[in-house]
Amino acid sequence: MTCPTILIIDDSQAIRLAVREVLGQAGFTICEAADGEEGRRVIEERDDISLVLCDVNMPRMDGLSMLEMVKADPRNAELPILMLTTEGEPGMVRRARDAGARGWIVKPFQPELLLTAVRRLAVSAEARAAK
Amino acid sequence: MKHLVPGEHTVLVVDPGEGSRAILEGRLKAQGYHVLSTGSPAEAASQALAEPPGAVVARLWMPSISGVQLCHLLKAEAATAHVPVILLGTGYTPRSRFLAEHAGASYVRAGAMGAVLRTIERAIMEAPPGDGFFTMLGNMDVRDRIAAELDRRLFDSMLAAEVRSLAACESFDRLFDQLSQLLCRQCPYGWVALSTASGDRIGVHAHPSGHEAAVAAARAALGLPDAALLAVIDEDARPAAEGDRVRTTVVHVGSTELGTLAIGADLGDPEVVCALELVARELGVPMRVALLVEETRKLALYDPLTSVMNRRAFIGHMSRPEEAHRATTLCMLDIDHFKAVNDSLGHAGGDSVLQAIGRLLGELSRSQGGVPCRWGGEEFLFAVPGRARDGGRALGETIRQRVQKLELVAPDGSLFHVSVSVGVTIGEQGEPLLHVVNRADARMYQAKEAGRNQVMAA
Repeated sequence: MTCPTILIIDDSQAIRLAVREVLGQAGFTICEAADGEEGRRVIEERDDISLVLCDVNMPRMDGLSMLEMVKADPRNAELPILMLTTEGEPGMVRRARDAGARGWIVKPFQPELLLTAVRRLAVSAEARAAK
Repeated sequence: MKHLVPGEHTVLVVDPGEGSRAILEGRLKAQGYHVLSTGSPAEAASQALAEPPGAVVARLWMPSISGVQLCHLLKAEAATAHVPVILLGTGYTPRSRFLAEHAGASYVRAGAMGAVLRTIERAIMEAPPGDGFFTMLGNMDVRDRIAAELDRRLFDSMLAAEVRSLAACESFDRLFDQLSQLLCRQCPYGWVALSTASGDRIGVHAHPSGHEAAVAAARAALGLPDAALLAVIDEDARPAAEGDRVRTTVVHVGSTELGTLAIGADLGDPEVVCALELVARELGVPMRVALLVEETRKLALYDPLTSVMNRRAFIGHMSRPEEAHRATTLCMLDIDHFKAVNDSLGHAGGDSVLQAIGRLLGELSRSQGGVPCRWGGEEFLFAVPGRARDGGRALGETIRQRVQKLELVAPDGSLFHVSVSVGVTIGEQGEPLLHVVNRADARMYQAKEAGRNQVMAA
């Protein structure tokens, strides 16, 4: 079985490292981007991404704008995207859901919960891709 | 008919009382539901958000976080807005039911186990399916989140109450003036505008710098280049900014559209959008009241055929202190042989004569001042403030000649003319209006007796 690849988009290197640590140990392959613009480019160029974790407040392009842009492309309709952020205002969360995000995780996150959520989504995404 | 398969659904039970919680949990499991249970409302909230269940059943009164508060939070969150909440009360108290239903929950008495189970089953069957979206709160304090949500609701209700209180305004102009004062205290904007559904009027509030551009933008946004404008220009609006965009929202009561509210502002600011949506939602009733009061006033005071004041409005107008405390030059005019016009051209022909004279007096009023009135039948009054030196003869002549020059079109397309007999008098300061009218009336009869189409003045 291949290891699903997870893209983490966050301008904080500390968060990227923490995610790499938690998910890497669990056997996932991790790739990184430091802002929405870079994240969008990675999603555009690579076809092996099983799941995206994305911050909201970032320079150049914020996470919600990136989400809306990526989801506007029908090729990404099935790509699970989780927002990983310190924000939690209900209006913002609604905007993310309406744009097609699959979940909203407030930082600082509990590692085992993050892992549960990622496993649930990445594995089903893999299974879909395999069909 | 759809049947519920309990094994496909999770019910989250929230009850700090271990005994009652165990009983409910047991009954639900016996029905076949998958059951999660906790005594802590905060834990229940985190759990429900992270994995939205089929239903949440909670005690209405719990220490630290009430069932009502828990329900408000779950309904506000994207992950759980669709999840039905059933609140259990200790007895039949109408207020508990009101609080629960107002929060979007069902209310059942805790002791009535049969009713509790039926309510859960029905709620799950009627709930829209979830899409799997979840929220993990991490270390965020559920209590803080609930407090923020309740604060937001409190502010929203306060703003809604303020908007509804605009029903006391009684006119479109006053309504818009007060509305802009209220709205500019909610969020910054370059301009805000309100139009009537008939498209005849538009109010715009903008900053003095560049207000002409703001008015043009508002007119364009509402598609009303020519509507009568009420401009409120002051520094409570901010100057227009580069990134401002336009948003319009229809104002209605039920299915009746009353107008459109538009704003030019930074729409990336969620407060702007929230304030605009809330104000538009609540503005329907006050706007309807204002327009109805205006319409009623117009119907009560203006003659519907000729659009000049009716007798009641004229008496009211002339009785105001500023009018009663000065002399007045008053003309009474009566259309000559009006019965013959009606007989030969029909009532539609007669009406068109009355309308033409109403229009003529309206134009005269605008060009040189004075108040026209349809006193009754084919009699009109025209009052000009002050004592005319010639006793009002020149004014009476102007009216008589203009009427004579009117080119009227009969129903068969042919042109015809009418004439009026005019009586003029001076009403002295403080003299009862009806005395003055009677004197003008007597002069008008003298003009009739002298052969019609002439002016009789003092």
